Amino acid sequence: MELRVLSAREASIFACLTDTVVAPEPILPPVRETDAVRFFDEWLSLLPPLNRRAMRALLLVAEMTPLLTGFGGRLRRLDRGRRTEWLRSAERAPVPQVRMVLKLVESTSQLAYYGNDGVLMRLGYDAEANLRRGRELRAAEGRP
Amino acid sequence: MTSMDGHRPTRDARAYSDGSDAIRPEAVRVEHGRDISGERTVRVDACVIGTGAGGAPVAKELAEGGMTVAMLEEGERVTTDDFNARPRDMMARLYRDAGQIATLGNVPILLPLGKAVAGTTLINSGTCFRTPPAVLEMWGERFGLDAMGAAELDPFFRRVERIQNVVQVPEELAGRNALVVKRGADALGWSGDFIYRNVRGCVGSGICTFGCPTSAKQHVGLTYVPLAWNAGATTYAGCRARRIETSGGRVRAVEASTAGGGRLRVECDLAVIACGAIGTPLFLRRQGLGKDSGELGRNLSIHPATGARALFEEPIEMAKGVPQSYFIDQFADEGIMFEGAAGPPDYAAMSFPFSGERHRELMLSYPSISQFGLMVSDLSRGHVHERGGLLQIRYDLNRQDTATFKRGIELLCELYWAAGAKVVYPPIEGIAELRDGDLSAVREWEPRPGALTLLAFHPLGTARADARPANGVVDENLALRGVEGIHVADGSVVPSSIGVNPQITIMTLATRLAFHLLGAPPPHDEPEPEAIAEPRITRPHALTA
Repeated sequence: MELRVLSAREASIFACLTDTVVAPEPILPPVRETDAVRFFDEWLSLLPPLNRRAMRALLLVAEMTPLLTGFGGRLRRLDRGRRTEWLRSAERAPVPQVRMVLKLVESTSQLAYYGNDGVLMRLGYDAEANLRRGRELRAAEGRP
Repeated sequence: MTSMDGHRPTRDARAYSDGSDAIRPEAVRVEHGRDISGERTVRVDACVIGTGAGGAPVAKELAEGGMTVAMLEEGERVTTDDFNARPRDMMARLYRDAGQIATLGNVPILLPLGKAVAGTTLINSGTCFRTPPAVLEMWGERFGLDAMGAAELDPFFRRVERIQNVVQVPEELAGRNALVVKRGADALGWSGDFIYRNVRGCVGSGICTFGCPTSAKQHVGLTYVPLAWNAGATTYAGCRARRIETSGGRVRAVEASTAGGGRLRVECDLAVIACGAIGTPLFLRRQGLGKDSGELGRNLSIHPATGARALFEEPIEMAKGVPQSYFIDQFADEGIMFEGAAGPPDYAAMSFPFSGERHRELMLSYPSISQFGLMVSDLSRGHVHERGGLLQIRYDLNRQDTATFKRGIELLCELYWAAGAKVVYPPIEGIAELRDGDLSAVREWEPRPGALTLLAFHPLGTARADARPANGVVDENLALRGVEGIHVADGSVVPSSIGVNPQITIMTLATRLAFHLLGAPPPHDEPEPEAIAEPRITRPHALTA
């Protein structure tokens, strides 16, 4: 996958983090079968430079924090169960700002994953059909 | 829609099926900044900076009134061909800073803004309310804005509503998300109604805030902007205004940098600034303008909002129908309005509580989940400034507004129980879910801002109008004090929270400004609408709380 902003390592961390946050199980596809990482990379490219740097730094923080807080390894070295324990712990952080930043990261992962066409379709939203109807109406009625 | 017997139909189902009466430009008069790499100078009567709810109506009216007009827009022109019906992708492309603008304060509040020709109208829900008469009355008493009374503004409201084709959502397109909420409101005896919206040929695509794929939502890029072109105006997209040149106490020119690395100089007799309530104070401050009152950048109100979710034992399918199609105004005098907040799964995923397995289970229940919004007419005020070239929006939710949120969330949960919900998810950290009609956890909650998950969509007030020079950045005619020929026409002039979605207010004030600049009488011959939304706001919350 060609990436605009993320390094391969950062992309791998985001995929791992997203797997932890959305915890896909059948009928939902695994993160690697979606375009969540590609979207996140494109989204980063549209952010102001400072926000972009901050988001990339947060990925590294997410990777290292489990090791530094007694979960036995970096994020990507942990199995999902252990990663989930770490996430629960972070969500209960006593500092409100930490919880707020974590919520931002979680929301980004959720948007990236659930915005995938295949995931949307499994939950009943057919983006392509919606778009097609729009095109047909515009053509039939001369809408702009 | 054609007017009949001097009245304009507003409950005509055709607006929700047939888009064949769309406004069409005779020519697309857009110059792209990416194509301007050198220096270019144009001479016009009026330069309008910004093409959103404020700028586009001014440009159209001035051009139709015989002026030569240039419209500067920092963003690009996007058309319906650019929309892909995928909220995730559209949020990244259509929203300023990819949707990541947020306030700093005791609770972070996401503040989505549009960045393109048509501004935030491109990504709003299309909800249309007139400024409540009680609010206008308060403006007269508190800000000396007697000239903006309900009677004085009435012809301008009618004109805006005709051009924008403001019509009521029919029940059959409102979506089940709205209908279950209406069921709850009816059971409780609460006041509510289907929303009036600016549409031509809406079929309920369900993604108004991510680019309408049928061109039904009438953002100003489909209405005022093409009408301005038809009257000879030109839009300069991808051109960011950098400097206003004044001499002898008058405006002389506006200079913009272009996306192509060039410079565009617009010589003009009039400049109308319409960069929105976040952009306008920053732009004026950079020019050293508008500072005399000390109010520039201050008095920011935002209508902070949140939403509750509920699981039903029936299909809801939030992505089908008009996402914001119903409102409840029973508690509007307390500063609380409930409005629809439906959307496709990716939009919902961001706002649903939890992570991991619980979030997944909730998402798998998406087809049976309802989401409804709560908007507070805020008493809190923030300010906008730049530090080291970076935008900072400071806004602290005060104790009264926090208490209003508690009250509103409790009411919203009660509404969902009355509607037959199985589980309710209040937007409060630490209260995961409610079952069996229980409200005790919310009632016992000690309110604190940091426990709320908030968004806001209506920044207002940062260059507020006030008849008294010491209190307002602009006067009652929206003229910037201290220099001749500069006016402001966007949400920044709106001096208080208004308790309802503000696009019609902004368009109406902008239209009134244009008529004033042209020296034209109010358009009394505009047709009366068959009906309009009249929310039960009898006392402006900002005065009574």
